[in-house]
Amino acid sequence: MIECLGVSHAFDGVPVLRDVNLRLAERRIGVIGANGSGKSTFARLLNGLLIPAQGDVLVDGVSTRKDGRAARRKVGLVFQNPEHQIVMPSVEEDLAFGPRNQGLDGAEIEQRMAALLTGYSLADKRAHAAHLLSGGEKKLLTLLSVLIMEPDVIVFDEPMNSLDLVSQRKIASVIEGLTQTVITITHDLSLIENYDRAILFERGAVVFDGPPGDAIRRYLAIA
Amino acid sequence: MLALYVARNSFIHRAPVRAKLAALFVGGIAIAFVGDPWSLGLLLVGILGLYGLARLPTSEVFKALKPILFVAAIIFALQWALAGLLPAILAVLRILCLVLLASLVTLTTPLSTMIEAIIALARPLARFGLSPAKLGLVIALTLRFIPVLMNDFREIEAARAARGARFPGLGAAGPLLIKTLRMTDALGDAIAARGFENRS
Repeated sequence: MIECLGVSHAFDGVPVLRDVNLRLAERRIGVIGANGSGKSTFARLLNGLLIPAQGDVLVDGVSTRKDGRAARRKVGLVFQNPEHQIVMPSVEEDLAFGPRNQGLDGAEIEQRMAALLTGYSLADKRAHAAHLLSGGEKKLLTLLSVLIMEPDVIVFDEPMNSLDLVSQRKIASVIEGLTQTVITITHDLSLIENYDRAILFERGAVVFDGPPGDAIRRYLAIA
Repeated sequence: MLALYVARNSFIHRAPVRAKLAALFVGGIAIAFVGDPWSLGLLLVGILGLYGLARLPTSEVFKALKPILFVAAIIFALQWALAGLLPAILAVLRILCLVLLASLVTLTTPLSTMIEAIIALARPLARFGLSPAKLGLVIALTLRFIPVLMNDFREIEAARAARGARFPGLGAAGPLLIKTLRMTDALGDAIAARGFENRS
């Protein structure tokens, strides 16, 4: 479970998050809001990539301020732009990057990789150069590169960004099938319609927190 | 050196990566010292023979050579004009031999194996403050992002051309630099998010 306790943050003196207090325990949580409302900053706070200027983020009771690495082991983050998340030249090398950093042995990495590539129909692209994949395949690779590290929570930052309709449907169905807790930051309101909870950000503050239908109506009213 | 691993069952693929890197090192020095075009020509044929023994498709030879043909042509022309035909032939033969030999190593060695070997070889440098793991990551990132940056450059060029910009190439440098700097921030986050900080 992730808890945000009085979290505020600013960049160069400009506040981007103001006194956010949240307890994130549901299986599917959507985060919506206009551009610049603080959603992406919020995502980076959840796995300790960013430490709040004020307040604290706790992952299973451990502060990201005290142990950011532990938070990152439990909370995976799928970034908005796959080009910025794929760090190795080929599909298999990129998949192996995270688990190797976790200290897993080669046999374990191979087993996880084979299961994921087969399970998500990417086995034929295993030795492929990452830059030659399609947009949808790149997005899937970034998701698999997080899944292979077996986090408890996965945070998606705009998972549908720049994807065509076919890829959007595929990624949505993959997200739907995940057994992990999922926190999705998105402009695609239909994606979170059936979620357990939705949080609406406006100018860095949480202005609504509750059922997705109500959050979407409120967002449409203020947008 | 940008060639990606091509899986085949050959003795060159199975050879230890350190042996291949040592052979590349020795071969590179030998190529630099051979001063006879016939010997260099024979060496080139021998290296091409190694591609055959490694069961690599002929297309991989062309892929390896394609990026450097333009540079090789310029070097050939300059050498011919400044030093004569023989030095020009020697220079181009050396470039072809070196690129094909280096590509043979990358085509027959998985990148992870190569990086782990480089990390192991660089371990003694840790006492001088150099992180072997970071060195390995730098190599991997270089290989990964050259095509990405080339694509970004082409996109910026196309956007400039669409708005009637003159002097192709020059004006794209600034936007490309800004885009790259922005990308490095996100990339740093992505690398940390996947636990790289745990490695030393």
